[in-house]
Amino acid sequence: MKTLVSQAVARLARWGTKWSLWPPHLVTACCGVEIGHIFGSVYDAERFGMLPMGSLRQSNIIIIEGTITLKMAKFVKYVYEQMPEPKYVIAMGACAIKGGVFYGSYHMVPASKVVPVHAYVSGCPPTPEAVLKAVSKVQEQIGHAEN
Amino acid sequence: MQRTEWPFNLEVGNTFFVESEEELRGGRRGLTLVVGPQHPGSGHMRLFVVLDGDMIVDVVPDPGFVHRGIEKLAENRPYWTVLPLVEKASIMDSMNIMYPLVLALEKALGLEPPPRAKYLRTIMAELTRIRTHLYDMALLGIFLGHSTAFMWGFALMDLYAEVFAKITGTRTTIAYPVPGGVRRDVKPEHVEAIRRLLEVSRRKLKDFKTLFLDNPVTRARLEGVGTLDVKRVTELGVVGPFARASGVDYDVRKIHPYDAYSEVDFEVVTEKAGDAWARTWVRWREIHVSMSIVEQLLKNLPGGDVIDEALLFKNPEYRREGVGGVLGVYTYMYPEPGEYMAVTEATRGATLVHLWTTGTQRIYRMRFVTPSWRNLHAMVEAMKGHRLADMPAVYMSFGYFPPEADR
Repeated sequence: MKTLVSQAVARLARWGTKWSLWPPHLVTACCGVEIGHIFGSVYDAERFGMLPMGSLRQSNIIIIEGTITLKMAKFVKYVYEQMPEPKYVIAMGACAIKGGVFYGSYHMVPASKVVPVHAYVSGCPPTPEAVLKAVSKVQEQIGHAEN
Repeated sequence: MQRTEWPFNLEVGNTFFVESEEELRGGRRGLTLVVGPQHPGSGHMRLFVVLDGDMIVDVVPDPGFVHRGIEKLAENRPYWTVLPLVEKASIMDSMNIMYPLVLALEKALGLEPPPRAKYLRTIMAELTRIRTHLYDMALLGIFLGHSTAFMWGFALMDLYAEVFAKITGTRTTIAYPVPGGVRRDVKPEHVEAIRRLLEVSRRKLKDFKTLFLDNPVTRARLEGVGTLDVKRVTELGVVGPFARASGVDYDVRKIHPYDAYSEVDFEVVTEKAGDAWARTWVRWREIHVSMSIVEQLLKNLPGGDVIDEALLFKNPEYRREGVGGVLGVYTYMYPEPGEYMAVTEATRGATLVHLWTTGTQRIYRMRFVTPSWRNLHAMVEAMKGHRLADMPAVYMSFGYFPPEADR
């Protein structure tokens, strides 16, 4: 009986997390232009339960918008560590995957070396549809989680 | 205090993460507030703001969070692949920001675009200018807590993005010009799309003005905030609409006309006040000027090729294959050794590219001066003496875009 109750609670928590993915205002590079479109009135990410939060203590997903420079990397790490569990990361853009057009630059680092990444989006910059697809992939991952 | 592990450093006096107190003139204690790089606005930069009560005494900017080494990377690759690299400095303003490089490379390669290509480039430059002004205004809205302006601005920008996608294939990073012409010709339906876009914009911009710019709260937040007079602006070397807002009558499009700007009739928008409202209002009026430029150019759009005859001569299959063969031609073209320079008016001010070439296909050195970098110091100066609550208004009234400044 006890396990049944705890399973039901966990399931409810997963459902709640799935539809309340809130990113903090952490703009790392120029993909932030397309992020604006995602939260604008045309693509409206709020219908997926996504709403930008001012405080990182109230947020649970980071969308890494393009390049992470070495100077920014420690702040991405710092923001990620301060966020409450469970937390998810979407790496957006070619720069966040491997470097893209800036491959080989002396001042940049791929996103996967800084934080664990749950979904990648390709493109330079990716279209808003692609990022919303990645969001739904993360939602699937949350829905199929073990506990 | 105990020093903990990376990335924390809790020593007093270290302003890396923690607030610290510092001595002001007259023995008063000031508070150093660290704003950013994660802050409830947009933009990836950090400001060390020294506060006396809630009055800003001093601001020390800390840019460089998006420094990606564009100038260095440009030295290590063939010149035709530098174009999309430079574009990433300011992606919604992509046409304007890569314009000077294209002009400088044309001088180095001895190419001259045909009239139709010149017209098309200028049309796209003005469309990206409108889009960037709208972007800055939408973000100014969200900085002031006016979400409606953000929503309306981005909805309007999305129309521009869709038209760019129709013409060039991408929404934001259009990479439209190439040395000696443009990448793709426009079809009659694209011209029609631009016409309709301007028509819709005119109608919607009226509502945007009623909602945002005529709003008494917006006026109250912006008027008399961050004032820089004409003398101060010239001392600080401000460029673009932010200098014109203080009465500096300087526009590269008028003074050194490039491409089709010599064939259109337009006014250089100037204001006298030099405060945040004047900087917003200049940009608002520039949107309408840009629209009239595009309309004039569309009316007189000449026919013919969109690529220089010299390039077509080297690749005769271009006419048959369309855009496919254009970039291949550059692989056997070598720039003349020497120095080449080009200045253009990007949305946020004059942009300069200075090229050193040695006769190989790699650029020896590229100096790339962007407007946001030149406006940064003025932005910081304008913040001083105001309340902390006015800081976002001053910040976004300069349209500061960190990737553009840090390159």
